[in-house]
Amino acid sequence: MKTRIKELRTAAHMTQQQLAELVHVSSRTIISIEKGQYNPSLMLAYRMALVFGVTVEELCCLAENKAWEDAEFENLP
Amino acid sequence: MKIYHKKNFAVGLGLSLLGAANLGLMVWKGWQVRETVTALLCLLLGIGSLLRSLSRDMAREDILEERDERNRLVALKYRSSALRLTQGVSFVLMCLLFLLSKTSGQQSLLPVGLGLGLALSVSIWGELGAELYHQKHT
Repeated sequence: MKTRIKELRTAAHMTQQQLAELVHVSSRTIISIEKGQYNPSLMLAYRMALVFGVTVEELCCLAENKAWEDAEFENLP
Repeated sequence: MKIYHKKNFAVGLGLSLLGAANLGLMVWKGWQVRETVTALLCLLLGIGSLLRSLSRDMAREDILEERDERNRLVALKYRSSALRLTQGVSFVLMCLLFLLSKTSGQQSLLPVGLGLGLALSVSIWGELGAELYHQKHT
């Protein structure tokens, strides 16, 4: 899933380790989320959204991801 | 002195005792390189685990690692993959053993194949039971 975490974290001059400590996860989790390899739980997404002062919808590009998923579903046989 | 991570403390204590007991046994029975290395490794790991469980910061780090949602998902995935692999290998080995026993006439291979078959069926039934439980409770 595409997210804006890296963009917001860089803008806030924050390291992955600092963000990880703020939301109580390992820095590997933050790295995986930024790479799009792991989708955060709702609570973790909410925690990160609170850190950056945005909504979960904005942080996780939900509208964009939904449109992408809808297109995938339409292509199903 | 406070124990911040009880599980790590227990593991550390167990490993330290095992390492110390091994070293003690070797003093009595004579030194061997492989056993000495194993005992020292046990002792070092045990002491490390004990120290981590007694340090507030390190224990917090360990607890966060354990509770980390991605780590939990990774653990679920690798355990599931390991189960699939074990079931597959057991099935292939069981078939090979039955086939070899039949073609070569070596009856001694049959119980080994049966043992593998039993382990395979236990794992399949266990998997079915676990699925029923988690479908109901999750």
